[in-house]
Amino acid sequence: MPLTDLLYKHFGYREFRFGQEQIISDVLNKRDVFAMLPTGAGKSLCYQLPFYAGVSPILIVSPLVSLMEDQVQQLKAQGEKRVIALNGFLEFEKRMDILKDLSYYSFIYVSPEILQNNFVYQALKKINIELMVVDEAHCISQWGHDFRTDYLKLGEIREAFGSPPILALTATATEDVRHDILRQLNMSNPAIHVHSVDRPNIAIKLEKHSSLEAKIQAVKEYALELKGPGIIYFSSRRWADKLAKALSDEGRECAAYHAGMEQEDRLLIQQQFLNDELSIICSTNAFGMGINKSNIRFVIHFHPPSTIESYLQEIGRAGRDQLSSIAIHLYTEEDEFLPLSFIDSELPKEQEVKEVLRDFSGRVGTTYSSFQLEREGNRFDFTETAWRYLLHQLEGLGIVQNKEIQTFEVESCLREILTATEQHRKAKLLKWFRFKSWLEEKQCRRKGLLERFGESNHQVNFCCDYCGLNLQRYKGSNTQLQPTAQHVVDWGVELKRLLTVSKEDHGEKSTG
Amino acid sequence: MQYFDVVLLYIFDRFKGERSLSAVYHLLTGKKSSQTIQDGKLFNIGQFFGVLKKLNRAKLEQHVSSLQEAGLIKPNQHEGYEITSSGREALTSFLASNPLPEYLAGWQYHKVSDLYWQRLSLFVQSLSYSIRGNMSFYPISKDETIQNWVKKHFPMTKEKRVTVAENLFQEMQTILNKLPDRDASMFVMRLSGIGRTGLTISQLADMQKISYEETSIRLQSVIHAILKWVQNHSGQSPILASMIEGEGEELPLTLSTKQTYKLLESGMTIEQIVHLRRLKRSTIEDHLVEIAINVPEFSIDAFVDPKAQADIRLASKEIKSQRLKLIKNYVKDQYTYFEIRLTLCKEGI
Ligand SMILES: Nc1ncnc2c1ncn2[C@@H]1O[C@H](COP(=O)(O)OP(=O)(O)O)[C@@H](O)[C@H]1O
Ligand SMILES: [Mg+2]
Ligand SMILES: [Zn+2]
Repeated sequence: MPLTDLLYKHFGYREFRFGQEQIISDVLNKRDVFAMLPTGAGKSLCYQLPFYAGVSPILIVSPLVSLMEDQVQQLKAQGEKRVIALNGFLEFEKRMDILKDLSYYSFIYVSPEILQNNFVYQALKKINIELMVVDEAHCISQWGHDFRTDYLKLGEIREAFGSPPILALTATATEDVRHDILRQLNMSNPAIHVHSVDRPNIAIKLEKHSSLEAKIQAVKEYALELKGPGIIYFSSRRWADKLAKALSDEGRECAAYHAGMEQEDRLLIQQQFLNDELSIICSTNAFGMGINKSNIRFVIHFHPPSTIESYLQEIGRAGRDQLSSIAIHLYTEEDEFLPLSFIDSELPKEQEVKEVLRDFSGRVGTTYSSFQLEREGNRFDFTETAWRYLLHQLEGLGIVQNKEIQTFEVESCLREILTATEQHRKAKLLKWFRFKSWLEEKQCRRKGLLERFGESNHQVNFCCDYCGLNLQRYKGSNTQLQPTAQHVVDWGVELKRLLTVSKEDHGEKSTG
Repeated sequence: MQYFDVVLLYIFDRFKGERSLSAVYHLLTGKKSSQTIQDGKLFNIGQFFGVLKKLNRAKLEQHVSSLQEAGLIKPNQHEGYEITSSGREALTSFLASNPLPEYLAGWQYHKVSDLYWQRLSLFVQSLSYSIRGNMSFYPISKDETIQNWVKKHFPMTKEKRVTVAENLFQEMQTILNKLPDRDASMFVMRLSGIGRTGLTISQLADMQKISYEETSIRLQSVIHAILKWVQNHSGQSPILASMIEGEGEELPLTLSTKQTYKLLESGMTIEQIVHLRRLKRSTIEDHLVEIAINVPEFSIDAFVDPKAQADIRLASKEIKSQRLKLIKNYVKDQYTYFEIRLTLCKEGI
């Protein structure tokens, strides 16, 4: 079957997006492939479609549990049953059942940490993997923005699995990082597809305000005027809640969305948003990685992200349908301090490091499974990122070797870790300054962004506030200003609507 | 006064100042310790067990201190709080116009209500889509055990689905009709189906102009009402009844307690169990208390001499208190805390 027929049959899309078809045919020709496509370009499809052309099983290494789970849900919603995600959050017994029966699955998602687990490793070795996908491959490089040690071992693991062809995917990687990826994964004679990080259909607007009040006023106006759906990013749950409330009071359907909410409510908000029942989401930066919605028309930053890469990721959630969209960044002088505290939250504090070292020094000889080690941070209340960072340090210093705690000297190790952390913090600060300097440049915004990735500028039609922008283009009709939906309804009528089919529905169905 | 304050006053009133704030916290968040379980029974506030699972401690403390400032409660020497006379007045007058949800029964149903809700809501969502020939939707529950349960019990043919949906509608309507209109309405709006995704607790609260806590408690009372009805009238609501299947008969014991219970039944003594399970004696004793509360036919005579039981009961009556320490003093330290606890909790039933 021609690729376009498979595309239509299994995904319902009429045509490939830019780059997809070439990548897929290289994959089908069993070549190693490196592909850099901007966020939202449709990278997942590049390994999902090959399955329908006969490639199976496919192993996908993915860095974040939330990302993995979103992909799994999506494939399942599409009717694909043979999908599984292996990560530290699976219960032991369940995991064993899955591993016993691993050959049943066609799409196997794993975290790099879990590949270090012997059971997982042995089970995967047996099943003859036909394609190994490394998603977010920039994590492999020291130069990348979220380096992960266990990515370094992927090269060896690949060999152990019988050297299946590899597909490395990333949205943002500078020249150095690309180089690193090819080398670390031992990619031989790879097909390289590098596309610009630019998203030409997203216009960029930077807007400085003299006070917080002015910024709040501005976000309210945009929320009321811009054509939805849209996402507004905040640095904290409290702000997301506060503005969501303020905007709802002004009559725009709007909800907060962050990790502090109950899982069930989070899922409901996500689905209301996906189903266009809700037009604006007020979200924290840390959240929403997996929102897969193609018609987002605007992304507003009420607070700044801490790196250019995350900025691109976040604005990249707009306009995945390739239609005209806008990214607006609102800022004030004081905003400068916010990323600083965000950076700190992603790194372990002195007291926390001390606590872990004391705990570990009292338990020399304890051995862990990779699953336990991944979860161990919960015991000390670490964030996912901070724990991963510390674990990397513990392994580097030989405090944890082959998942076993070794004897070590608390004081000197503490000092070493703190020094390393300080350096890491400085590196992160530099990244923030790199973003901040962009805000203050007097030139085309797009040009500034692209320069930072070593690309030359693109001429696009609706570019940025520096090149000139007509906001009218992004405004909605007046009808959206009427508060809609979610009224109190007669529950009897509503329950009946949910659970019974009317005569017309019957007629329609019997013919279709 | 917010709804949450009313709940707190109600609990303080029942606790009679004999329990600390931690006990209140554990009760509301449903921490399954034997002590909490015992408290629920003892003071007759089991309906609140686990109804605010995500409550944070700081929020509780904040409300407590404002109740105290308003003179509605006062601290006592047991690290607990007593309701004042103006507190009781406020409580009574509030409850007169807005009684607590009649069907709330956290203790009885905490174990099944979450599971039941998840099965029911996913079942409704799946039916709602499928009877219109649409099977591609994002399931409202990500939990695979729930998804598998629904798959296993889902009618095979389109015709059957239409009938089941219709019947389920009737069954639900019958029960919801017996409840306050507002509660029924919130419950239905929380369901998801074709054309509309369910509302979150905050959204429902805004819609009804009531607090988050009240919404959360009311929604649970509806689930409890359904469970209760279904247990007594399973013949009239076979579909709703089928969703408790496999969970109904189980004893509401924590996992570890279950193991202890099995060992006791096999004839082992407390010492033997302590040894075998390598747990502290106090842990096993906690298990016993939990068993005594939950298994009516479980006799404590093997652990507390019947004469001791009589003394302890008498002591509790005389000093009008359930406080272990006071009772222990009163019986001149003749009996251990464990014996007193075990006796009291049997008594409480
Ligand atoms: N050929 C296509 N036509 C239309 N939509 C597509 C196509 N390929 C992918 N998409 C959609 O684009 C969105 C983004 O895809 P995704 O793989 O998550 O992007 P990313 O490159 O960021 O990983 C998804 O909603 C996906 O279904
Ligand atoms: Mg992706
Ligand atoms: Zn420009």
